[in-house]
Amino acid sequence: MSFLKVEGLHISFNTPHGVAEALRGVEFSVHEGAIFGVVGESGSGKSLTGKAILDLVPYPGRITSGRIFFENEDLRQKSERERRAMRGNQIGMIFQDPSAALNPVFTIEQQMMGIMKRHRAEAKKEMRAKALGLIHDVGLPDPERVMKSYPHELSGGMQQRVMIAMSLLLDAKLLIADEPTTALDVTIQAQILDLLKKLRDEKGLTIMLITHDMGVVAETCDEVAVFYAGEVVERGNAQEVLSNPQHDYTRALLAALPDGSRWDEAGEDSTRPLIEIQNLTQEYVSKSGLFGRTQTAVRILDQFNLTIYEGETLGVVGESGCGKSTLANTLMRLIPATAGEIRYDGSDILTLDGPALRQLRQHFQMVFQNPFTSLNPRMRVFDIVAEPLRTHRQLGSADLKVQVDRLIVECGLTADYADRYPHELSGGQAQRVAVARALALNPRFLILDEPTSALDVSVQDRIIKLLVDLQKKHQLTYLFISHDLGVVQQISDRIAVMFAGEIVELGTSEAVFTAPQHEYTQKLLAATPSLIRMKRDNSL
Amino acid sequence: MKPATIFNRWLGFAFTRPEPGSANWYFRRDKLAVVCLFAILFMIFVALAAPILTPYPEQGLGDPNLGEKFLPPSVAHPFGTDDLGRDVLARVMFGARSSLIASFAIVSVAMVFGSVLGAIAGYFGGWIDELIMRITDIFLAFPPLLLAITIATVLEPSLRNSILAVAVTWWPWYTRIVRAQAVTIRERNYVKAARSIGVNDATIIRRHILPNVLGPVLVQATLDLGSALLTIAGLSFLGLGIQPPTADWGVMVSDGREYVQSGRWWIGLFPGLAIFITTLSFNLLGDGVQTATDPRIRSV
Repeated sequence: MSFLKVEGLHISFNTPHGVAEALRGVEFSVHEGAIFGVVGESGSGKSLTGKAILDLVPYPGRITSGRIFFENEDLRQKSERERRAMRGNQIGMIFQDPSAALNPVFTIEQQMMGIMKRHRAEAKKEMRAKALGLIHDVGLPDPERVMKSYPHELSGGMQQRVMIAMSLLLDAKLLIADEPTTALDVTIQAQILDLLKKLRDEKGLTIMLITHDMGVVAETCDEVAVFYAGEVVERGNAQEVLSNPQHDYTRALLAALPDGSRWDEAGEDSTRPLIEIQNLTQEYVSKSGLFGRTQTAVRILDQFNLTIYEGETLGVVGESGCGKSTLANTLMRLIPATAGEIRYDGSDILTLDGPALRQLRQHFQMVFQNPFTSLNPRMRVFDIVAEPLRTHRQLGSADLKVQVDRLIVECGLTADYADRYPHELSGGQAQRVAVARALALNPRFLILDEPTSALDVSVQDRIIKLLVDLQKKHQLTYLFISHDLGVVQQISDRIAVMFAGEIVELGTSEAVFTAPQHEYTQKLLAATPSLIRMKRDNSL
Repeated sequence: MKPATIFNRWLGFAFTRPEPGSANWYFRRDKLAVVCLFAILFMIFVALAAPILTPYPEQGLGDPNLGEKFLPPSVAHPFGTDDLGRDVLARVMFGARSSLIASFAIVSVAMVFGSVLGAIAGYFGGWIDELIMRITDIFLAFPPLLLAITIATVLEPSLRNSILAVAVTWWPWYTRIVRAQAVTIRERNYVKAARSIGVNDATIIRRHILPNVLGPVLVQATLDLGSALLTIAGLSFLGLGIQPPTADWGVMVSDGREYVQSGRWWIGLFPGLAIFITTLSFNLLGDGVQTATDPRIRSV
């Protein structure tokens, strides 16, 4: 007997191209009081499975066959009314982005009371006491204040805790958590995962944790099912699956995880500074009050100093809001600086304009996080890669074609991709096009702004490898920005850890990873899912 | 570029089997919209071929034929004849020319002018944005028809001037649509990438901003063709548009109005029907285009 059991679940979508099967005979069972991990890449059907249990399969999808048992009752035999009563009462769900799941115009109290009023007939006072107790249980300080807050007054981590508290309001026995930590910073992620484990232990809650991150599975789950292309390819005890994976896909997923080994052997240390950032300050003036008369300056970067040496890869790690993107945008001359200077080739790039700035644009290039937002959807790959060449070089159309083809091939695609539009590419292919565009003008310095974090794990690996190969071939200098220490450590010679607009630790990759000096770096490392640490310590 | 390439890029969609899931594919499933498209293509054909299609081309152009005044519809004159003895069918066919030219011209002028201004406002922001948007606000503060009538009255009455008068009241809508889109597109990473490459502002607007706002603008334009036709017919009806003897549906309805009471209904009815059918076709076509291009409202 099992708590939740899914048998031969098939879901298909009617699309213009015909019927697409999204789930093809998914089977698994979950024991009461366990954390059950569902892991797979985007499009593998893991979220859809969670939605199917709640009978929330989005249009135009439908369940074509299969059975879902919850406490030995077949959910698909129940009436719509019974199923609705079940949602929230017995099964709760939380989502990736808590700010999108909370209603911005109501306070937390109003939203929580609203949920209880719909399902329960308890006295108002008791309901409120219960809500307060749950907010306390999910580890939020000062429950009274949280109850009176609007969602925007809470941080992302606090919002996700509120979501968890809400899903428990009606004594749900099963919590379906769909990527509950993906939108959060690493240190917050660790706290939320701890909270889930605590709820399992103390309240006997069963949790179905949907994630793309093997590290999260290793950290939290008792059992796991690995999804691939709409099927469960492997399932069982989490420790066993992780230490002795049977299916090729599981092995590939595990192998793709950063393990503390480096991609390229550290070259001889260059001592020639390429870029020197001195006392860089960035302020935003935020206006409030009537007609913006109250002005407060917010310092994003404060007297920031950093030297980047020729030929190195400098990793910059920090959480959202630490100023790392502002740093990148300032270096690229996309936003003006408030004060300070950035020296490159003997001059301050912050004061360049006209032809000198055009010259600089050829030396500095950038690769963005999500390739689908950094490629113009209305342009073909050829025109995207040709754009820098058309802007800076006067080439005949034959020469241009030769150049573009060379770049596309160099980045691991074939020349016939030139005719495609971005939406006809996969995430990895699109990122290769973005790299080809960045290389078109033979730059010396490349800013890589989380170039792999929007990609699936198995693809991340290949993009990193491409970047390492290109660096060797063209003697490039990289500034690699990421929130993920594991990824940064794979490729960087030195790592700078940023916190609140300052560098709190700067050192060689090995030093930062093995002997972190600053408190914040230690916190970051401790929060990195244990699988990476286990892999590093060869305990796996 | 080879002619074949140009053909494939611009007209190929009409002759090839559309890829399932494309806007073209969704559009072709909407039978009513396709019928309306053919109705409009038929109107355009009639307007172009009017001198060949009618046996009375000179009457269509305005020559009076006083011997055959007020004849009711018959085989020789399916739509009857008017107060100057001219064949109403020929007049309606020639009238299609000015009506269609006017509606396409109004929408094109307003769309091009309004979109470019909107893209500039949205892309640059700051005082340029303020300036452009306050000017559009001023134009939007007047009732559009009243403004068009005022401008048309001040100018010499002619087809060109009435087009101008209506277009002046029309462009601010496009500016608003495009500006709202451009503000979000400006923040997209591909615009950032283009700026970091060193592409100049004019090229960014032309290559990155405008193509990506084209969808909603074209939908709006198709929906507007009908109202443009109505407005221009209204101006002619008031005598502020095309002057006799050139044929125009609005003028013809105005002329026919005098004879309805005396039972000569055909003089005003047929040009009125032409306005009705063309406007309806434009509107339904616009709806079809909107449905086909908006993933949120179309269904499989």
